Amino acid sequence: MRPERLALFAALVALSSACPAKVDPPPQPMVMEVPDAGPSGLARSARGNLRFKGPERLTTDFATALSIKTDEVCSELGKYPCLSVHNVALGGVDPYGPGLYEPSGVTAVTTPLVVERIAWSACSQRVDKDLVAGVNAVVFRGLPMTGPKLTNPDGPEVTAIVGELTHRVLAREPYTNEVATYVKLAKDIEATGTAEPAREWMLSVCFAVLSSTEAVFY
Amino acid sequence: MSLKKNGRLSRREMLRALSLAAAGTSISPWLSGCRQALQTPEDVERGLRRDALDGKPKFLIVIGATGGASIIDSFLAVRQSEGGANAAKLNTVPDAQVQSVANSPFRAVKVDSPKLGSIPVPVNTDQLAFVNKYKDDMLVATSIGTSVNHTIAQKRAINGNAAWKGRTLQECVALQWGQGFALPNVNMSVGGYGERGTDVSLPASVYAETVTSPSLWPLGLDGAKGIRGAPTKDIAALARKARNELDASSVFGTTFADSDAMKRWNAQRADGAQLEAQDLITRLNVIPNMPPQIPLTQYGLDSSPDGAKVRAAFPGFFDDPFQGQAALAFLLLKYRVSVAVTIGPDFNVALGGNIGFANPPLAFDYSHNDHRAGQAFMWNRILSNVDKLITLLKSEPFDMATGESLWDRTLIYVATDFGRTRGRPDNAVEFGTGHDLNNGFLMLSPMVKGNTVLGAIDPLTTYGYGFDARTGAPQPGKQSSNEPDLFSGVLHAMGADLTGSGLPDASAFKNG
Repeated sequence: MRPERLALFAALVALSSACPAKVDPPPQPMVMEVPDAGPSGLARSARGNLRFKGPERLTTDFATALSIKTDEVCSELGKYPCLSVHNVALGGVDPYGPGLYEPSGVTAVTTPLVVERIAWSACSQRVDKDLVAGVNAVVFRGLPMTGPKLTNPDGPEVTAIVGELTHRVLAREPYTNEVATYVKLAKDIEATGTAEPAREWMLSVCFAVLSSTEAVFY
Repeated sequence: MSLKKNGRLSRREMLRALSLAAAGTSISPWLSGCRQALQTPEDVERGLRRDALDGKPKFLIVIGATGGASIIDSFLAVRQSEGGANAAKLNTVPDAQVQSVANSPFRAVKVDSPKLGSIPVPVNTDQLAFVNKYKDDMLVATSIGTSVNHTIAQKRAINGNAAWKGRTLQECVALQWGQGFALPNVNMSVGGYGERGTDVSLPASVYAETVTSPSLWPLGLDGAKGIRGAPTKDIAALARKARNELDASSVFGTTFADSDAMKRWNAQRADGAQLEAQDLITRLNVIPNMPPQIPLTQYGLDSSPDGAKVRAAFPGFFDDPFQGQAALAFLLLKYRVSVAVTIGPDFNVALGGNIGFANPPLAFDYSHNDHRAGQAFMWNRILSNVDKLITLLKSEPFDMATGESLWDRTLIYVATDFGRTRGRPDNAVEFGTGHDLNNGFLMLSPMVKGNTVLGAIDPLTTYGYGFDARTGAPQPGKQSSNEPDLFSGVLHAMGADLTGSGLPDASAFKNG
């Protein structure tokens, strides 16, 4: 375990013992059944006129969903805002330098990677804040842990966290397959033998929701 | 990516390229075999048979000489004594400043000025060393453009005024030699040089990846590396797998499965994994570890194995965008990421370099304020970076079997917007100029017919005239636009397969 993570968990344990008050998890979501695909179920959009969110909208949405400041969402090397460094890769314009007055209108090869970087960074901010926030945790709260592990990946608290993220990022209830996939993800992560399976699950589920196509297109 | 010693792709990369080719039946009309089958006997007789696609790439570096680089302020300069009665009113140069180059049709201009227009920096430049060094790989062709609007002229300099369905040169090269390359076409330049072509029938991979911050852009070539707090690679892979499975089966994913944007996104996600596999976030990273300003290692990052080498060549890489672009251009070619790279100075002031000043406002277009010193300063800036680029490319083996260096497979095309008006107040040394259609272009490569000027300048007017693009014979008095000839000339010199393009035969540009 990295020293800074050890310190983080030590602080968490200390806070837990100092503040024995029970932290409630987010409310249970109304998990929905996945509609059938095909003629009797979901119809494919004939027009399919999807738009990528672009740098400002994406950053603002991520910040709002995770209740962090926009300038906290992502920076390269701790100094250079991702919104600036990767502006054009995210479909932005740059009129004063290269004279890019109009967005390209299509995503670039590097766009998905840049979105992932921003998602990991934003999620890392939120998870680490919540891990030390105790009763004041914003998203990842009320999750029973045994040391660095989730006490019960199948428990209702895990479903509640999935619901909370889905509400915040996608503005809807989660589907059954999403809950099942993220529960399985928790078990898969723990099976890797990582030193911090609970934290890495929180990061991973946050990342998966934030960087989903549903979250980055409209 | 693992490259074989002969510069070819490894078996794994080749299999990937082949699988893409097999899947991409829609691009089959462009494949060499199909094209060659379409050649007519007349084409063959006229020399239109192109180099076989032997699996070995060729590379194009386009340098956008933004603002209008005047050819008569460089290799085709006119001496005042040659200008006749109007010499004092035309942009002729004092005889002592126009140097002949031994055994060459080129000339080289020497300028010493205490200031650059109203900017108090000295301009002391001499093109002779560059021309002596590279004359055998240099070709200059006179040109007549069709626009004196910067953006439009820039675009026509790279698409030959829509000579081939609106494709840019870079797209043609990416299409011809870019299969199997992660980012075949990378564009860091400005304005019209940065625009994509208008042929929408091309595969998406040949359109340029736009880069505006060359020093920091490589950080976006990995989805997690260098992000503080991100998990390990295996955990990140699990998270991606979960996300991708849900995306494919979600209501949103199913509803918009036929969307072009969604299809493109899914393909780009797969391509992104290829970028990560090649560790390009490290290999293309010019910046060094310099905590606390640039704390690379604190973030789990490293500088490129070639970092010290390119930083030595381009010490201003971080503050001078043009140097940063040139450094990245070399790495993109070296690591077989791209076959077409576009760079060039922009219109903004850049500080740095020996005299503390790297780029004047408006680049070559500073000639509006002070033509001669502005042109001299900017030509020196272009040639200095070209020299360093060629030196790096020459130092890089391409094919151990044939002894080719990377330079042997590369063509540098110094594109520019247009020329400059020729008039000046009597004998003025400091004067301003406007935009003019009449100009010329510089190409450098072992693949071009070296030490060659196509067309010529009439010293009595300082205007250039045209030439026969097939034979190279000068055509005094020819003042019609030759944008397609120049476009075709670049592709001819590189040996591109042009069957069906309708482009003029520009064999005069090709070496051998």
